[in-house]
Amino acid sequence: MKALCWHGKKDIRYDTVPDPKIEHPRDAIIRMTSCAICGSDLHLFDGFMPGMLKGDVMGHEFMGEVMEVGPGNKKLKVGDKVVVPFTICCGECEQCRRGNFSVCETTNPNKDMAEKLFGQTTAGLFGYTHLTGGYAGGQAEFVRVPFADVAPVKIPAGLADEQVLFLGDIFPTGWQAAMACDIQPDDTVAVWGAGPVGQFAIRSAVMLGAKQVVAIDRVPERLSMAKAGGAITINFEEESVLARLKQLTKGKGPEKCIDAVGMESHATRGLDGLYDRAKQAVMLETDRPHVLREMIYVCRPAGILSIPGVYGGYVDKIPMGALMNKGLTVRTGQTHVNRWTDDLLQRIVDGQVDPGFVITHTASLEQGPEMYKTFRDKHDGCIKVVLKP
Amino acid sequence: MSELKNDTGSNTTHPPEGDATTAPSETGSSAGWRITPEQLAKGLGWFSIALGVAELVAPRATAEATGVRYGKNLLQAYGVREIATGIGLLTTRDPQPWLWARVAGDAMDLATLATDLGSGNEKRRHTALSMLAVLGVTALDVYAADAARREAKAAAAPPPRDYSDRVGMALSPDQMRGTARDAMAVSADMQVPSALRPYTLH
Repeated sequence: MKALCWHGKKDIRYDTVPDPKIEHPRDAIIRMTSCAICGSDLHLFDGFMPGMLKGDVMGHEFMGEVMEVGPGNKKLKVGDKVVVPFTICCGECEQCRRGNFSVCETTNPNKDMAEKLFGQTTAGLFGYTHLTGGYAGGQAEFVRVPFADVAPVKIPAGLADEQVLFLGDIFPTGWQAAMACDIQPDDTVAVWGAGPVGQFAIRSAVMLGAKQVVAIDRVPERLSMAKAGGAITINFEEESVLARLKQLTKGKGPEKCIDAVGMESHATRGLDGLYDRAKQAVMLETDRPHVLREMIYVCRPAGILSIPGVYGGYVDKIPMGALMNKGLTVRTGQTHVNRWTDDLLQRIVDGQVDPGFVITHTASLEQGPEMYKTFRDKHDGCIKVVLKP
Repeated sequence: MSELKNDTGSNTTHPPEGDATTAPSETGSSAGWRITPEQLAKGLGWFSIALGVAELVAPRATAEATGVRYGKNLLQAYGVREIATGIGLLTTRDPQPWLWARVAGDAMDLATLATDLGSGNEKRRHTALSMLAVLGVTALDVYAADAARREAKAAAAPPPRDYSDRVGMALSPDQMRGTARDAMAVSADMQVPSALRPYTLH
């Protein structure tokens, strides 16, 4: 079969790889009908995440048709249309029973590796380094889905792929980011990063009742889309984020702050951006935490920082004094996708939300390598890429 | 290979003018004090001319001030170079080549000054300070050239796509505000501890 494979920094190739096979009775094989490139795939593309090997199949946002089912799988049958969450969960461990699916204790076969870096293991993820299991990803014609009797979401007939594809990651991720803010009717929610996750966080915050939502980015297309979703926009290359946020909140700062950027944040002002780039270049820091610093500084005391943006390792110069003295709450983590999928699927079926709004480019899987570059460089107004086999 | 397409649909709607959500900030904007790349290039042009005139008209005084021991002919030649670059910067529509010419001139100045740092020069302290000053100006020239390059690139880029019709919700954001509040009840672990609630409400 054909798949997009990682071969090194900035080197994704359209390769021929062996077809997947059922390896466990609970497995299923999915014929991919749509997949997407995620912002966190760019962390692998840019070489910021450790644990990738040449030939690894990329991708964790995908859906398709069930082609084969293991004998122990009583949930799926051949022909079912499913969206596959990016987190692989067993449904049986203590964390899964609590609904903390992204920290499933069972599904990462490389627990030792994860424990060395993180202290404990987290869930296996599709196409996302050997730290999280080294599972082959979904940017491929066929995908083996382990524990396929737990996470895959069956899609009712009549819904287009574009309406439901993002149930596997970015829609629940933006939703969880907003849910973690425990939004109150008087709240201002500031969202750093108006990429796909930021766009869903904006709409989620609006639907959950925030008084005002503020989007911070520098890409005009993203700001245009953020505004369409109900956000007040700040272009951080044109104005001071701190001053504008203070102005919008009568000098008090936003109650809730969402970091939808993660480890590769850009900063145009101040020295900390230069400092991070220099330290990252000489491998003294893995991630660039400019957004974290800014959020801690501007957030209203007793507020909440919600961090769906992906971080991989170590950061420097975090203002712990401000974080502690202001009594801020930090909530973060990979998304517990299945916690939200039933509710969000129903909202799609009811017509409240159409997640397809975020798609700006559709291309073939074969065009994947060039679409990675288009997406990374934000060329041609690119915000979200969907690939078809 | 299937055809690559941009899913912009019919996104030709323009945002309403004067919308409060994109109104420029009065207190937050730094546009008031920011120097544009064009202003910086013009400023460097005037600086070039002033320095060039000084070198051309008063080479001995300039040599005294900067600690160099070269003859007046060399300083006057450098003065002509500075004036030519300055005029170029003040008259051109694309300052990039002239700014890079200034950087090259800075390199010449530094090389000339460096040859005069030997122990035979009683004013080598002056010379070293002059080199520091030239290094500072060089940094400014490089910054200005890069800023001009970025501005030219931005001007050449196609206009940004308009996604202002991509609401993604059934109704307008104002109509959708709060319609999913019922969802909050199902995740108690995502809620603020009750002791903090009164503060966050007001």
